[in-house]
Amino acid sequence: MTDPALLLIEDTPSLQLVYASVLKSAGHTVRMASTAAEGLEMFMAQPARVVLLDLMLPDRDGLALMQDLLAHQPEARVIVITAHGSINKAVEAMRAGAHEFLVKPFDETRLLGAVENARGGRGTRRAAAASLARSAPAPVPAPSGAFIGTSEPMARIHAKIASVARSMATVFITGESGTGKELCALAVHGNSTRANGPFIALNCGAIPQDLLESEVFGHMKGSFTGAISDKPGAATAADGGTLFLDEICEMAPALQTKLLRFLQTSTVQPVGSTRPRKVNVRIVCATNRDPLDAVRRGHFREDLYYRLYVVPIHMPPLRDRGADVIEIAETALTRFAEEEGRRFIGLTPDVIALFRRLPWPGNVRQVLNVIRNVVVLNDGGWVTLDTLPEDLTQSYSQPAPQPVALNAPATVQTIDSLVGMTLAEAERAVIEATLARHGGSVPKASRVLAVSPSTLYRKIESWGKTGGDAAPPL
Amino acid sequence: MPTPPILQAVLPDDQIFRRLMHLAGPVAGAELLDRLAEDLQAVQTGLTHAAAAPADWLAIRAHSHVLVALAGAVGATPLQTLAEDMNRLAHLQRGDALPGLVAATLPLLDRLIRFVTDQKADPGHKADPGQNASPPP
Repeated sequence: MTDPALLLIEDTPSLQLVYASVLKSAGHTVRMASTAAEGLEMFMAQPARVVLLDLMLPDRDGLALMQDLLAHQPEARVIVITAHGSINKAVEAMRAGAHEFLVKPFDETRLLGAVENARGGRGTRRAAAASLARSAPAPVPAPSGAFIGTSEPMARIHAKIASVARSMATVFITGESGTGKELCALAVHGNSTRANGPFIALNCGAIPQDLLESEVFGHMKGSFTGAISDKPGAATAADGGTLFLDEICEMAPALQTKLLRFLQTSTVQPVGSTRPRKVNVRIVCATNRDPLDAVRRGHFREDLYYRLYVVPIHMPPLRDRGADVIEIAETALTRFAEEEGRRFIGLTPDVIALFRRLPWPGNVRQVLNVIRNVVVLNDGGWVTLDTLPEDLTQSYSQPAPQPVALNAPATVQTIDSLVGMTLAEAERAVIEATLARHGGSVPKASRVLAVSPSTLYRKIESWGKTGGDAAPPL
Repeated sequence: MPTPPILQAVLPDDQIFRRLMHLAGPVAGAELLDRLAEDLQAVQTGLTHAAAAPADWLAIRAHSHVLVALAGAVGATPLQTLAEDMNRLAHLQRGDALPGLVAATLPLLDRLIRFVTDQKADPGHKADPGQNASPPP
């Protein structure tokens, strides 16, 4: 049977007393252990639902102890406590199944907030959450597109989602546009114990920056021109569920500070309100940029990055997912044909071969658009090369991929002209030619080269440092 | 003799300290002061030994880790900041900056230990003669 008392494992006696005093004054019962061995013994004798664990213990690594606790009682929620400056250790713990982490020195609000969340929320929510935690996670509805496919990269994604869903750990999803980041976020939510709670998605890049704070945290009537009534923000609407922040790297610096505060305290303060409100929200965020690069460039706060980048999930581009493209296309064909009242038989071998060859820079979204186009503009039968959108077949109908250099202007005319260059020089020549071909547009060139724009910016920057020819116009 | 400003700065934030004592209550509060004094003294002794050449970086990391938590818990922010710096230094194993940092930290730590001991002897003792003792929130 699980003991409702909290188990506190901390080796410094005065800190033990500090934590215990705060927890007891908030109505919690606390059992205390001073070493890893003592903590493990107490847990084995009477497992606790919530464990507060200092990662730095005299007799054993706290992380190893946590893994033993979770192996014995997978439902236990472990809040790890770590020192300022050891955030990597906390991130490691979250990946290994910790429910939450606290950074020393102790902060009363954060400690009680974390314990409250781990116990399943406050007041009336507690019973509902406890009941949710007891029942099996709700089955995830079969999503379309991104989550169809049995390739090895997708099998790894499914396994990762299944393993992180139980935890409160923040999930940071990266991947090119159209790879299904939001579906991944939905799958994390759907596999979690909060599946019956709300899933609120907010695109930080699509909302004007001056409205974003109000969208995330809400506002009070009259707090600014146009605020004609109280409005709960996305963070409040997601209480008891998941808040999905898409294009997180586009968030303005001022709001990043507020988001960090929100993550630390689990409280929201609507614009114009004087009273903060506590909410129980799991954060999942996503970007199609390289978040670490955004940190290096000073566009994204480093402390927020470490708070959010706990469990990273990278959605693979479609070109790396082998035969998944065919499964996706066939599933989409069946579904769209049904919607449009058409009868299609399937893809011809030519189309299958072409689809396997294409780089799909728009990923799953592009495949869905192509199939939708075919279904709308044709009556039915087989999907042949002739039925595909013209631009798709014109661009890519060659029997085998051609080297980029053959199509590039001036600087790189043939593959022969690359011979004799170093690999770095050849790479630069291809990048410059691609940029020139796309009018200096880094996003367009990056799509053709199948790298992220930040990778190109980094390379261009490095050429500037090493001297040589001027960078191409951007 | 008035307390020099540098030592005044190391005294715990009165509100934080009183809140902690209030939460602990009179019985556990007395025990908390005992343990705090003991733990701080252990850090003081440990740091003094560990910082002597050659530096024992593992021990410095462990003691500064505890000091960050203890100083932070009682609201001794300047001492907490020094302990954080020392912890960072121990991670980087930068011996050149260690003597200066230890020299800055130990007197403040000593002052905090004396403050906690004074509290034990006289629980009504104020954190700072210049500060008003506001009731705990």
